[in-house]
Parts: sequence; structure tokens; C-alpha cells
Amino acid sequence: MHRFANPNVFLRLSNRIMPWSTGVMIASLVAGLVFALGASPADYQQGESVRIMYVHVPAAWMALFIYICLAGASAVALIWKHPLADLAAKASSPVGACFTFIALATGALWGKPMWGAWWVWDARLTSMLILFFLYLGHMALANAFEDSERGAKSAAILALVGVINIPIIKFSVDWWNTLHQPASVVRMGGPSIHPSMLTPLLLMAIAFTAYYVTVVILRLRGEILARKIRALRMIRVQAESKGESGPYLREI
Amino acid sequence: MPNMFHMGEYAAFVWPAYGLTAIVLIGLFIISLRSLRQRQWVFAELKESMEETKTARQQPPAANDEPGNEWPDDDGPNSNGPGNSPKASS
Amino acid sequence: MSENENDTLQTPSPKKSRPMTRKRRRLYIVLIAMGFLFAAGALVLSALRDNLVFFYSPTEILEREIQPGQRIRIGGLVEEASVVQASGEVSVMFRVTDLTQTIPVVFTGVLPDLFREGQGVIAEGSLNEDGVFQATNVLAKHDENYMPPEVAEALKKSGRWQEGAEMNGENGENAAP
Repeated sequence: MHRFANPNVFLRLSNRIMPWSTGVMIASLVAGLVFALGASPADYQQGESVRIMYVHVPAAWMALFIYICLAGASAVALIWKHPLADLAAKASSPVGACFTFIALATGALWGKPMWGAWWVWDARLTSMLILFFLYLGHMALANAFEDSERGAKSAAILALVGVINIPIIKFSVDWWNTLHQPASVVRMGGPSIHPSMLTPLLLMAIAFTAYYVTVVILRLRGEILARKIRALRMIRVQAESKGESGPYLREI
Repeated sequence: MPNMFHMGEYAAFVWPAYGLTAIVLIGLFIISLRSLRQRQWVFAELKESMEETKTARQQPPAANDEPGNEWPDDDGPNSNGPGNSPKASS
Repeated sequence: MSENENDTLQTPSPKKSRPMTRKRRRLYIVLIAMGFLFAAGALVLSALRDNLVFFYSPTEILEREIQPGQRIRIGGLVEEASVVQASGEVSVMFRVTDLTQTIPVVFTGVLPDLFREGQGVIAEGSLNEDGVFQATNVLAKHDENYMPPEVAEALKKSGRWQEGAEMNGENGENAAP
């Protein structure tokens, strides 16, 4: 396992993955948009407004999926102290926050014409808003402390505590009366979406997943570099305090 | 398809939903890429200045034996992003 | 951050067991903490059960003897052929049913696009002295079925269409318990 602790191993791996994830993202995004905006039928009840589903539902899936990844990375960081796990968690939470925001905002744009309200405080919508705050809290904690290790530890604990929200979001529509309709795809008895509408939904889900992989690799590289920069600066400060370096070191 | 991109009475809701999604996702991508490029540049500058110090003083390279330095500064194959040439913006 | 890893890497056998047990202990702590967390979450949710519902069905409202004037939400299906809009008036009258009990509703305002007979609906307001629900807000609740209009037509023609099946069938508990 600690073979992957070496950031250079990860970087070489990520160099292999990046072209693929970018390619899959662009291909499935183009195909998905063609189906979502034109080549799929309007709904028998909701008309053309059903096309909002093709960004709303995959974004909501990503919000949950990224949180599970975040919690997994946080557990690995807390238990096994894997040096990349903290950085992976720190790189993931802004992406998750963006997808949660997209799910909330497009849901409001869908709810206004269909339900007759931008927002209601039912169990599904409220638990999704809590997920958004969990992401924001994680981002704030991970950057809050001077000592980045303490920040990473408290952020990891927050991420693990917040896991309780995931089953609540998933099953809120089954456990309680909500305005939000029950699940259509991941449910007992198979999807209740016509295949012509399931196609754009799944294509967009693939595109969003590939987007997450691509962006998290970019951000993780950035976090690794930031850590290297900090290590180098520490070395330089130590060298300077020993009086071993001259004034020609430029301030960066 | 004759009705491609025809959203009927819901255009005012469908297009903002797609536009907002595009803005958020593209924005996050650009922010992530820009911060990576900036760090690559800072890192290259820092490494260069420290190597100058080393060669100027003819000191043994003690840096890599420091206990805290678990991050080898061999940035070779990974810094392949376009425009990460260290001199580009200096 | 990686003192343990350094230990394991540098000293082979004698010290190897100590960092391993430390990791194991952290694993157990996290697992136990997660167990308590989920138990606490389940307790809180079951205690709050009544407060987390967004609406009550007509049956629940009649059972609970809701006081007139108390603000609540009722949810169910708009009964077939119950929508009456008096000519020259803006207020709409319809009946909300869970197929067991029915409550008449009066509403003045703009109805959402999905409002139609046989569809799910949630009305916000209060009962008056005569047991008529005075709605201040009406929301449409849609089900989890998505299909093109032609498919819906074909299903209706072939007789395999179950109107409101999702509302009163196996999933009916969600809409009208």
C-alpha cells in the first residue's frame, strides 16, 4: 500500500490516467449534451423541463459519490496516516461542493415550474443543503490552521462524522413524506425511466465522473507541489539560520 | 431533429440550469489548473535558487537527508503541464 | 506525520509489531466511533420522525383531530373530477384523497403546471370550522416515472396503464400513507 505513498509513483500514474479521463469526459459530454438537449423526448407530464434532470441528477450523484470518496480518504488518513490521503481529501471537497451547489441550484430551477416552489424544507432538500455545508466546513477546516496537519486531522474527523448524512439523503424520500419524488434509477424493481431518457442521464453521469477524476488529479498535483514547496522553504530557513547561506537567495 | 434546442415554455428554466452548471464546472477547472501552474512556477524558482546556493558554496547536498523531507524534489516526469517552463513568467 | 512508517521501514522485525498495533488501535477507535455515530443518528431520527414529515395524509389529519386554524400541509392525490373553478372567480376547489379519506380544499392563486386530476399534490394552509382546508399555497408532487408521451399513450391504449399506481401501490406509502 505504501508503494503509492511515494508522490512520484502517483504522479506517474496520474500522467497515464489524465489523457484518458479528459478524453472520456469530452466524448461523453458531447454525446450526453446532444441526447440531453435534443435527441431525447420530452416527458409525458413535465414536457421539456425534464431536460434539467440530465444535469441535476448526475450532479446529485456526484455530490454523494465524492463525499464517500472524501470520507474514505479521511479514514485512510486518520488510521494509516497515508501521506497522500489528506491531500486527496483536501483536493476533493471543493469539487464535491461545486456538484452539490449545482444539484441545489438546478433543483430550484426545476422545482419552480414543476412543483410551484423554488425551495421547500422537506427532508431530501434539507439534508442536501446540510451536505453542502459539510463540504464548506471541510474546506474551511482543511485550510484553517497554520499547522496543516492539525487542519487535516480535524477536517478528516468532520468528514467521517458527516457520513451519517449520506444514507439520510439517499433514503429520505423513502423514510418520510417529502415533496421530492422517490428514486427513479437506483431502486428496487429497476429504473422507472424510459431507456430513451436513461441514455443521456448515464452519459452525463460518466462525463461528470471523468470530470471529477481529471480535476482531482490536477488539484492533487497542486497540493503535492505545495507540500514540496513548504519542505524546501523549511530547508532554506534552517540553512539560513545556520548562517550557511548568503544574501543572494532571492525572496520568493 | 426539428425541435432540437427548442425548450418551449421552459426555456427560462432549462437554459439557466445548463448555463450555471457550465460556469461552475469550467470555473473550478480553470481555478485548479491556474493554481497548479503557479505552484509549478514557484517550485521551479525555489529549487533553482537553492541549487545556486549549493553550487556557489560547494557544499555537500545535505538537503535530501533532512528527516522532514519525505518529498523528493525530483519533479521530472510529472511537470508536463503546458507552460510550466520556469522562466516563462519571470 | 510518518514516524510510524519510518519505524516500520527502518527497523525490520523487533519493532514492527508496535506501529502495527497502533494502526490497529486507530482502526478500532474509528470503527467504534462510527458505530456510536450511526446509533445516535438512528435514535435522533426515530425520535424526530413526526417532525421530519413534510405533509400529512387526509387520514392522518382526521385521526389527529387537527385544530381549526392550525397551519399544516396535507398531501395526496387530486381526486378525479373534483376540480371546480367557479366562473368569474379565481378560487379553485378540489378534493385531496389518499383513497381512504378525502378532504375538500379551497385555494386562491396560481396552480403549478403539474397540477391536474389524479396527480399528487401538497397544500399548505389550515382547516376551517367546517372541515374545509383553506390552502395558501399549492405544490404539485410528481412521481418517479419518466417516459415520452407516445409511450404513455401506448401504455394507456394497451391497458397496462395504472393511473396513480405509484401513488397507491407499493410505493403509495410515500405519497399517501
